Amino acid sequence: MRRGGRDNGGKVESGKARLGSNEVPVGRRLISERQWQELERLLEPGRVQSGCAAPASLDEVAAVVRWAAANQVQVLPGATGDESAIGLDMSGLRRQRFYDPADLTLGCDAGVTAGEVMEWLAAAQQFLPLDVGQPALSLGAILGGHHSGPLRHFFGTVRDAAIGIECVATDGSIVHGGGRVVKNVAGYDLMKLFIGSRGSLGVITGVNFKVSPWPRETETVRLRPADLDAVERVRHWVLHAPLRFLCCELRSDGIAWEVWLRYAGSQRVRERYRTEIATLLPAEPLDESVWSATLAQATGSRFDISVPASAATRVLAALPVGNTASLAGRLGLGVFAIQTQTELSDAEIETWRAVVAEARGFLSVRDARAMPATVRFGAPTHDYELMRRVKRELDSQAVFPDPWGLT
Amino acid sequence: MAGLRAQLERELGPERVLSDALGRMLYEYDGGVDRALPDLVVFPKSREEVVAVMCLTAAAGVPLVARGAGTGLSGGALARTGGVILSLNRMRRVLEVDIENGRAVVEPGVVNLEFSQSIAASGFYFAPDPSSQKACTIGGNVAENSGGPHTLAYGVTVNHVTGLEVVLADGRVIHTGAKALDVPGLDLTGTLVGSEGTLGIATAITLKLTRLPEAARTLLAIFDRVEDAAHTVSAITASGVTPAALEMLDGFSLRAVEAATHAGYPLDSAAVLLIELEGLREEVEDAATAVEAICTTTARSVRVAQDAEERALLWKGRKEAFGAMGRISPNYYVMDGVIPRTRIAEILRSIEAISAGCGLRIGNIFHAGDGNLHPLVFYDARVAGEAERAMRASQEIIRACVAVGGSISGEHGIGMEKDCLMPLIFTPTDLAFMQRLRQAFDPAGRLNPEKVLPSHSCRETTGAVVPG
Ligand SMILES: Cc1cc2nc3c(=O)[nH]c(=O)nc-3n(C[C@H](O)[C@H](O)[C@H](O)COP(=O)(O)OP(=O)(O)OC[C@H]3O[C@@H](n4cnc5c(N)ncnc54)[C@H](O)[C@@H]3O)c2cc1C
Repeated sequence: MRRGGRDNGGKVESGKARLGSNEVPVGRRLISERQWQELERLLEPGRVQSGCAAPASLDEVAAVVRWAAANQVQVLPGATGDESAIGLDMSGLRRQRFYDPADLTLGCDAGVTAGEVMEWLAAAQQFLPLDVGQPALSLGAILGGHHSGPLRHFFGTVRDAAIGIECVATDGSIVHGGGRVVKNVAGYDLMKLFIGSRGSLGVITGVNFKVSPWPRETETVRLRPADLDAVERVRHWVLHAPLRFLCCELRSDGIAWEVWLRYAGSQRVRERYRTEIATLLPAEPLDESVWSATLAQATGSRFDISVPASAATRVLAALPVGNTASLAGRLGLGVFAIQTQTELSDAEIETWRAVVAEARGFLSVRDARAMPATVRFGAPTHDYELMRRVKRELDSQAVFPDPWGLT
Repeated sequence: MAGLRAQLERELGPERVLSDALGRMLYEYDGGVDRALPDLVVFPKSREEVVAVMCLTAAAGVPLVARGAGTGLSGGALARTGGVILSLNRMRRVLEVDIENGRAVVEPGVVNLEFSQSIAASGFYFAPDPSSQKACTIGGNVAENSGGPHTLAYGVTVNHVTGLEVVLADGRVIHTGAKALDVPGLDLTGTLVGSEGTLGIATAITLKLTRLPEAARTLLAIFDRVEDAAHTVSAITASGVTPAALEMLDGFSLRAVEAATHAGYPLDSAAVLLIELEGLREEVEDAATAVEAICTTTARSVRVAQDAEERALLWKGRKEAFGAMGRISPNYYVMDGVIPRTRIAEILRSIEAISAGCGLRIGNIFHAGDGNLHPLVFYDARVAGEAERAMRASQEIIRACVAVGGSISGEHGIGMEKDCLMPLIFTPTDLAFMQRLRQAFDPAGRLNPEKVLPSHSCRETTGAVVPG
């Protein structure tokens, strides 16, 4: 039984969700028994199962993509497949390629997980902003989805840290961008092109990062602003204060608002932070372990919202908070993830989208329901035409998914 | 070309179309060593005029090359295959400053330093600070993904641009990114930054603004041996302190700089490190203590600038360093290469050997904190063969950088200077992929042709494989 539905411990999205449909997409055929056998011969025994191929090397990834191109089968990097598409489980590519703590650079296979990277780096008091709330998520998934966490406030995302990338392109060729050094403008920036591309241009197989030293002493406090006006006052204060917070998180359980501020430095530096924060609102210390808690999953819809930061509280005020199971986001950056208690209808989603769009922001739906790309990501803006051209040019074999409905 | 000229003159007015030989000669060069004469130079004042120029040149099938201030060091703004230069320095309006969102929207011809100075009262600035910031434009910074001394802590241009308005080769205007951070779809903003004017013309740029630090401290560490300075860079990097800037001048260069700027660099030293620390007052004091502790074991002495005036003087030496070199040599060639920061001592030894081998002086003034070298090869173009020797030495240096795991450009770009060197770090497959990306933006290859990717001339000079 090789058809879809393999449970991969929540590490991969369902292929159907990515395709946005239960139908075999137009132009695609069911994968025949002969084709499955051909694929099995390309990989080590046991590495093709349940609509998913689990290559053990870069060459095997390339072989799967070439097979897919020849057979007009779609490849879903980091997802499970189905009757017409093959999922790629990248957990077999898990090597650390190099780590030079003195140069603060690291290179690894894309199947390495965030947790593994953090462990390697912690040994040298270093880190990467991979605090996405799911230590089991692979680098490929984090890069492909451009996931980020609270540390983004100060350190940015993998987009800011990636200095080199390796991908398998539509014809199975292996393509590199960037390199191993922390500053590099040679050639087009393929890191930016592939990060956030959701597998639509190729399979990310390796990545090089510049890593950062992790401060020796960090501290976190919680503020409890009474309402969204008070939250906005905190945001404004953080923006203008000379203090450089590592994290500035807005959290809500749908009832009350909390802002978590994290900072680093020697005893007297932290004392300065405490003194300054006290001029704003009473603050209670939080244990540093709050940051390693994994995000709670709820049964409703999950949205990602990105708005200009000063519009954040206005937008949040207009959202149906009663249905919010949890909200977590970067208050200073206007980037939030919202989980609702119950699934929302398309009409409700449209209402939310209108509020966000009015603030010149973007809303995307992350849940697994089948829905057209325009609903999941919003109506196309005019650069979609250029994105379509890029997609057609670089995925000329139409091997990879089309999450935004470009083609 | 006469027909195109008449059309452009009708669109922009004859005063904004330059066609006489003398006038065009001013656009034959940029800050680098290459030369190429354009057929026409035009000066649009608005996006609409850029679109009009784009459409007219497209219809005529004529290459178009964007130009900011022309300070680029890799021939990026030169019309290598002839055609029209689109000079953007008359589009210099700041369209919006939105401090509450930490954003500003500017036209491409806005000068980097002028912009930061214009918003200084708000407590914010644009962090990328190329040493040419008094003259270079933000459009040029975007196209080159420029860095500067302070990008060690704050990142390069791409980390400070969240959106673009771009005129494509077919005259269509697109908007990429936004003030908001996570825009659905491919990251076209990130792809366009650093594309050296080959994918589109930026007509408006949304910038991320950075809060000015509360405190800054500048230290000058003085060394008796270059290796000690190099090891200090590694030691600071490894210690967990991230200076805002960490710049190095070797003995030869610092003496030349001192003679021109009187910055206070000790003439008898073998190298100096200019170290800047920024942040909260207390944070800066802690970091200064840590850096001084590292330097006590490696440096002859450490001088801490006592006031803003002394700080500015120390920086004057660094920022005006390239200019100062003109005093000691009729010509010099500025190279740009990158190496892992742990290999500085080794690469400086290689450069010394290359200098001895070619019989030319090579100075080193560079962004040591991120391993971005700028060897300066001194030569006299009037002496037969010296220019060629300087070029050969420069290429040897680049090869040495690549040999230790580095790159052929950290900030000056590829342009027409290094397109033939691209195969040193990219495979033919990589280059073919990049060529396809370029075709998606500009199918006819009309924007800044024969730049970035190896051009056909490379086949003859280096045997490089040419994509596409
Ligand atoms: C003394 C000196 C010091 C320097 N120091 C540094 C440094 O510290 N760091 C650094 O990174 N660089 C440095 N440079 C190099 C140079 O100043 C930068 O590359 C700068 O960003 C170029 O800006 P410009 O306006 O002069 O662009 P130009 O030289 O005019 O053009 C550069 C490239 O940008 C393209 N371009 C310009 N405007 C646009 C636009 N609107 N849309 C699309 N493409 C466009 C051009 O086609 C060209 O390819 C230095 C140069 C000098 C002379």
